[in-house]
Amino acid sequence: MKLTSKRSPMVLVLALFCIALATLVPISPKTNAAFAAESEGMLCTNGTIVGGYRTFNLVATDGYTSEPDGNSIYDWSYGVMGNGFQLPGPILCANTGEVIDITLTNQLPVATSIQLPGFTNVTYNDGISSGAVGPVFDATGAMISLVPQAAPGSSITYRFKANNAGTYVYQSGTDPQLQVQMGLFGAIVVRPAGISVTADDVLNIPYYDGTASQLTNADAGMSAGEAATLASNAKCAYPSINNPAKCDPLAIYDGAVDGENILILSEIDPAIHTFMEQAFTAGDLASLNWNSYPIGYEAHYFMINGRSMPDTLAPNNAPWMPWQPYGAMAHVQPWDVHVNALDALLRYINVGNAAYDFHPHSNHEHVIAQDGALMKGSTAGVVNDNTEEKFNILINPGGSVDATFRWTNEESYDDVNGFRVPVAQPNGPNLNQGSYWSGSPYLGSEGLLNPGVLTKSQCGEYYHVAHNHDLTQVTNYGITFGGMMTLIKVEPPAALQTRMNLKCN
Amino acid sequence: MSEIINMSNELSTNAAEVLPRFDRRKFLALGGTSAAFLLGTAGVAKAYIMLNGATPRSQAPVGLDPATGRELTAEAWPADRIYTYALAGTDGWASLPSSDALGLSLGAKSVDPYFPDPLADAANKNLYVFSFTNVTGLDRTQVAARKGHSQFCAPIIYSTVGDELWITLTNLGLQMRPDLVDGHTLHWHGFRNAIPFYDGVPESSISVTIDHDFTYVYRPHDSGTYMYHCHFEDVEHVTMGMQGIVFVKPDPADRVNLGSGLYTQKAYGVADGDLLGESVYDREFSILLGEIDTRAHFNDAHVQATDWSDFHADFWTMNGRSYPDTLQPNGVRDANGQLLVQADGGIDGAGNSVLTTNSDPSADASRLLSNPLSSVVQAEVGERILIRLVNLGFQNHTIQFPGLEVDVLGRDARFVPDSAQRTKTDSVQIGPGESRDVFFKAPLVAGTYPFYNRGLSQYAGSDDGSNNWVGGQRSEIRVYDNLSSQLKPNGWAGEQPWAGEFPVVAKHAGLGISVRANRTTGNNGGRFISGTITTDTQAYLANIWYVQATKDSPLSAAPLAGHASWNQVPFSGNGPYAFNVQVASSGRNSSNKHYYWVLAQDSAGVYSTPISVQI
Repeated sequence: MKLTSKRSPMVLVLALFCIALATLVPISPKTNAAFAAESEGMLCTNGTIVGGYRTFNLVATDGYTSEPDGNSIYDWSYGVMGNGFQLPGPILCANTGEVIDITLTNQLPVATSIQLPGFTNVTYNDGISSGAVGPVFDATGAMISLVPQAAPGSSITYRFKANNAGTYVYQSGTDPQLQVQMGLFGAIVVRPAGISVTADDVLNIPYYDGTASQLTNADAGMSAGEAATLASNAKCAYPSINNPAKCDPLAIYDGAVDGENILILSEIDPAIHTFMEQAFTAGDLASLNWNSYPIGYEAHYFMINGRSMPDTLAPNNAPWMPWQPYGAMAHVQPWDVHVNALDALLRYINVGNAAYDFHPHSNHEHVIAQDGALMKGSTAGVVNDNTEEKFNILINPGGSVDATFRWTNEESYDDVNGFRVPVAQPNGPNLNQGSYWSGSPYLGSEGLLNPGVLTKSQCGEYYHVAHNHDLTQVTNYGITFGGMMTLIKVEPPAALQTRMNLKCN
Repeated sequence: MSEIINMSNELSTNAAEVLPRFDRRKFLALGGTSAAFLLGTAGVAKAYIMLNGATPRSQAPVGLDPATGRELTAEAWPADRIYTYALAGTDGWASLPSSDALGLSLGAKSVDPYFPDPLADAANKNLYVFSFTNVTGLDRTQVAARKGHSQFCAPIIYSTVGDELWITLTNLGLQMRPDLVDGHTLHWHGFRNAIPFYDGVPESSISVTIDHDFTYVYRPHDSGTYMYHCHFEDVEHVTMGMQGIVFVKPDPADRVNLGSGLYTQKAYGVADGDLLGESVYDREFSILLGEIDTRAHFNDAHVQATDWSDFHADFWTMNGRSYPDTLQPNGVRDANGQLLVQADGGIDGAGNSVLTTNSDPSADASRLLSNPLSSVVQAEVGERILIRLVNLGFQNHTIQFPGLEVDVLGRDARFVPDSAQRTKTDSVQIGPGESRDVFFKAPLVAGTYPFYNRGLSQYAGSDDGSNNWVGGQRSEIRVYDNLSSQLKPNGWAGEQPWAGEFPVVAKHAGLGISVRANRTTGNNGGRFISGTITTDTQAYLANIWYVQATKDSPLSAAPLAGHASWNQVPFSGNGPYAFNVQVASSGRNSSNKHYYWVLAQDSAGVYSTPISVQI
């Protein structure tokens, strides 16, 4: 329970008030998300198949999240029915061709909804009326919601078909200026159904090392047997433009549990959240909308998956952040055409108000898709390839970007069998050493550290930061090395771990 | 302390060892007339010697690896392809256009009490900054004397694919803030497959403490425009001024020999995907976009904390200067490391910029000595110009070039191929931490063409309200009928690099001949390469040359044209010329793709850049 913050008295007041308000609004008890096992990589909520439809039962509810500086923030968000509040909303995973039902039960004191940008022919049923989703107007003709909404205490179901693979946002379509800021957002990931990656597919993945070669893994020396082994672990993000039964070669990624990652980027102006908390506490329902907020907007917290650095590094379901279940640290091992030739996949979503420019250290990422569409076109069978390798990933507000990442030990730096770095590491007292530094320039090796330096190295792994390059947003209320930042963990290959007798967890 | 003493000892031996080393390849890159000038002028040749030799670092690995106790060994690198630079991290004062200095119509109004900073050392300077100062070629004493002397923004650095670049960073501490014990680092933003040791993130690596130094080593494999900055307390050190442009030129084998010692200059090589030689240019300029919140600079000078999430820029800069200072010439550095300003004396009859050094750093006219980088783009009519744009501010910007057709051929140090459906534009979007390589053909009419940030609220404005461009990102392209060669990146016509600045680049005579080829039709019975050849001189064409490469090594360097292994197909005509040449296809079967190198040769014997096709 992370209620030891400076806001905890307010929480108690709020809890008492919630009881008083119970006759007005059926607020569920704030159960912690079930303490599921900790894990790495993208954590899917798969829903259930009911009557042939992939069905998700969500609630819109309120709760508290913590910031690394100790602040506690009052939020509204979506959660899985029965598990209560979480930020962001659950990552809903589905397959192409499926019809999806999302039932939203509103436990907030204001009407809310789910808008599904990128999906077409969405219908709704709220038990009173049904039909195609569209804007909702009040009696005076003023628009009150972009999509049909659920009144406090009631439910609504949205139904749509997942036609195209990709990464999508879902968010409130009701007073979105306020409600999305308050946390009513989440992600939908649609995977292509019926595509299996074969050894031949893996052999034909373009081999790129930063040059514009037309080589494939086969040209780079991958054997058929190696390809078969890799194929058994490969997944597909997007089908080929010209042959939908096959995977696009750039969209094949490492299907290992932490080979697929999601980064939902958001920001918080804590004054708005405090304002809404106080309005709610005072029972001032009329003030729970954007127009009542009297001050100019200025964000001070910047998050990935609802967490700020360094909380972004903790695993999924870290028990000390019960309402922020998603970590954001990508794990990779050095690219190797024989044993590790599948890239990691990173799915970015921006639910903020302006573009974020996200900078992964240590290598370019290959941007393959934007807003749920592979960046390739085909005219008379000739493919126009608009994918690009970027060292900064620009994600527009409300948009998504999918990118692949690999890291290669290009200079074969290795203190046993390979090449040494050309300069000596100066001795300790002449250096500051960071706590994510192993003490050695070499992967899979550790070195002496200055007294008082506590390294987080487990096995001589490399840590590279990945962060928004608006550096004012890589802060927690202005304090450096926080905010919208995470780490990429480059682990030594298994053989190196064995040789050095250093095990990565 | 032993570290510094060791370094000094190394210096004396290594300087002697490196002194005679004069890089032949870089020498050949010079234009014929420039080369002759260099040969006959000891003063300029000395620049190279200083550059390569007398930096405060050791050429050979020293010491033991503390992790293993073993001696360090490095992969052997050709000695004549190792280049050294030296930077010092320190603080100091720089100038923005204030109405105190420039008057009410060209200077921005004061931001009371933050700007001009009342603590500034002289009436001419007004902004407290941190900086990477170029100390290449200086000795230890000279380097130490640079404490408190800033260079805003950081110097332009470049390297070449195949070179090894050693950059020594010395932390001199902060003159104004003895209470701060900040480290410094060098982060090469975008360097591919970086290891943390050389990535410069203090939390996941090491950082350089005050009075110590560290040498970062890079072997760039990928051409393009990158940036570098300090990553120690990143938001503060970057916006305070520790930010600069670093770019990588393609492998020299990619250049086209135009004869008479002239070579084309290219931003991207065949290996980067520029198969058609589209990234050639006559002159290149580098422009770093930055933002300044004068409150934050004031706070650092006055021992106050800043809430960085409350950042609101009030000046916007190009290369560390705000309009109208962007229009002033580059600065120079004297033998002791003192930066000096140059005065703009126009263009003389030979097409050279007339630049006069003001040797008095205390003079009023030396106001910009700590802001030494110009943003003026010079061109001769019809020339092809490259501007490398980098944004290390925190906002998304769009730079507009009204009246020009601009090709963005590079994004984030990647060449954008034609197949990516490029379009011409007159405005270039660039987000924080991104880079763009912008190419255009200079207008055929001499004159002045402004370019500027289209975010029209991002200008401070003049004190009297008469000039709303003051204090923002605005500069101009000056087009002349006759202009002499550019001798260094960002250099004005005829402007020589100063000792320790960086190597010299050449002007070439024109675009020369280029060839583009399509993948061909046919099978075992006959394979054809078709395409077009263009020249910008309409010369008669003489030959198409091609050679078949093996399936497994298509990317090895192109063999020399004229070699016995090349096939020659003669023809004649005026360019542009469409051709369809049947090629030999030995050792092939129908499922086997092979790679061919193709190039064209004109009647003067000049070859195009070889291109690789797969058929």
